Amino acid sequence: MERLNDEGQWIVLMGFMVCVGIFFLAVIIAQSTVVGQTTSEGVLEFPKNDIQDLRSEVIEIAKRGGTSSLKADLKTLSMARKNAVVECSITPGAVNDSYYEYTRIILHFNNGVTEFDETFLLSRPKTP
Amino acid sequence: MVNDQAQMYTLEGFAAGVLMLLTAYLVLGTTTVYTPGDVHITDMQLQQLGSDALAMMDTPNSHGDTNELVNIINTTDHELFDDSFMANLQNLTESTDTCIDDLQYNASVYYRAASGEVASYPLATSDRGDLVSREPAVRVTRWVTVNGESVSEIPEAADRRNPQLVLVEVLLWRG
Amino acid sequence: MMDDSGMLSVDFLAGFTIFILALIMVINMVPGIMIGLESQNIDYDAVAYRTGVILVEDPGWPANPPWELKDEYHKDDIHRLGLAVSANTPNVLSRSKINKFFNTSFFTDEDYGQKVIFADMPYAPYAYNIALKVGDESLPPLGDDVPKRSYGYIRRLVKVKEPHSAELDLNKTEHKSKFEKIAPVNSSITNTYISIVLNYTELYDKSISDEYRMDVRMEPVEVTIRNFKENLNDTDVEEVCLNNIRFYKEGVSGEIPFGYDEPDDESYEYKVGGTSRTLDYNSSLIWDLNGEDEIYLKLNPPLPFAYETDTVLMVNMSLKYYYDENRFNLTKEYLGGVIDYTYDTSANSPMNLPTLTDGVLEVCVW
Repeated sequence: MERLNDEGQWIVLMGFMVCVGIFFLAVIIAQSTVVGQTTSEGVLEFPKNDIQDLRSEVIEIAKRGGTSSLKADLKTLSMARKNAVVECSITPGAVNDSYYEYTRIILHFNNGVTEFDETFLLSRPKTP
Repeated sequence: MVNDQAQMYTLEGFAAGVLMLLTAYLVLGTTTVYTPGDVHITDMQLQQLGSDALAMMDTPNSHGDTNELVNIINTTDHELFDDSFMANLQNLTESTDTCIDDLQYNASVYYRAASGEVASYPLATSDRGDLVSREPAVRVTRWVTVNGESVSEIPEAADRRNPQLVLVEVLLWRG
Repeated sequence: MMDDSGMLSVDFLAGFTIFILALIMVINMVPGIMIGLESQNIDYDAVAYRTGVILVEDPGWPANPPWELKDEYHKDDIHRLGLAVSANTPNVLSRSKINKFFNTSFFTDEDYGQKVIFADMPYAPYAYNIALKVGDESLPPLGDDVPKRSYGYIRRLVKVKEPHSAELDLNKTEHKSKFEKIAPVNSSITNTYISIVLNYTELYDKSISDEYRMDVRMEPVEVTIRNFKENLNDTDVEEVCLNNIRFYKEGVSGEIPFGYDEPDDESYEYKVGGTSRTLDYNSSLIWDLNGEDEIYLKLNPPLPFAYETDTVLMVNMSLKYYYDENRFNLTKEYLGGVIDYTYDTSANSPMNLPTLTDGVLEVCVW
């Protein structure tokens, strides 16, 4: 049994080294696959089109004077169909200058993954 | 003494071989699970296309012109939706000779009924667009402000309003 | 000892052979790990998607004044090439941006690589093909031919905002009626104008969204007057002089300083009867005008004072009518008046407002 220690079991050692090599290779490959996933999945996950659409529709609602039934439609349908919390506050005449009257729109969107907040002004010419 | 050593080297070789094969097998098993990255890419392209198509239908061609999508929902015009949506999906430039994908869709409209419940009715489907057995689909949506009072598909009891905000939802997949 | 080592080598040989055999098997398995993994392709699709988004949803940088107004000497100021009318109007592209973007004599391959595709490594540029079809018209695609092998791809549906213009056709009674005037009986000469009035406050109406707005900061103003000569009453008028064109600003006396006598392709295009002229051009005998009976004026952006939103700009085309002094019993009809460049779409308005045309943009990257 003394001899056993002398030899150092180098064949097993070599096998072990090859294993470590394969493992490293696998880790690198797995990493590159994850990259491919995140770019396309990230695009799918990020609600770019939803937000653009929501924004244009909120402007549409504001142009109609911010009817509360439309806001309720927006909120209920977002929650039911998109699992998203949508809040919008529309204040007509929040800001004024000599030519325009501005409606302040505060928009909040949260679908659990992405949160989006925006405040902007929508202008309408003053009736002379 | 002799017996001892003869077993030693052979055993070592066996051990190393089993170790390597096992690792390779393990690694092969784990990495293949991660691979289907391209599936998401075609989904992404399809989602963008569908979303663009609905946006284009929702954009009038000049200031004060009629909005095609609003018009379709107000009159529940299945055929016009089918024509317009498919024409958008199949629009191509000449530089790619990609064969047009066989796309199938199923569109429905969601609205808020009385008492805050959400109800829906089908708007249009493609030839093989029924939802019985379908491929994995992507979902694209578009908000539309319509004249709810003119939409015959919404029952009168469901609090039809003018204006009313509805959600057009299209499931889209490669047939 | 001799026996010992002999035994040892057979044992070693067996062990090592088993090891080598296992190693060969493992090496054979390794390429299997890579199957189904085409990270290159994934990358190209992402680049194509990104390029599509930049082109379709971004107005580019600088946005105001827009990049498409930069000339050859200021090309380095352009950081990003986007085609959208504004950041608020995804999928609506500007015609002037498209024209500049597809101008391959202005932008080089390298520019496209750096300002649209955003190649990660300058020494490994992507090959690309960007194609746009507007209505039924396909623009010549940028880049190389699409290869037969796989490539990154995205298709975007767009609308293209076509420029606005005023088209005054004097053969149309509803257009002509506003311009028919009669001079006092005893006059022998009438000095008058055809004046194009651009009220910037009205044009920049913020309640009209960007895709339908007439923005003279970045879009040209185009005026065509058709059948002018044909509609002159030649029994009344002996001679008509078409004098120069001058710019005036409301509230400011005198003409705006401008290189009226220099041919300047970058700021205007003025054609009388199909021939290009400077704004100083005057023709004493309009009867003798050859070619088409058409006066065409295009003012390229930005217009004078375009950034002062309360300006009213008047573009005056001077006309001088001579009547036969011996024949005082004539009606002395002449043509002159104001073309209001506004959002008016009634029948007697010559305006063509911006319209959107369906199109499709395809980006391939490999």
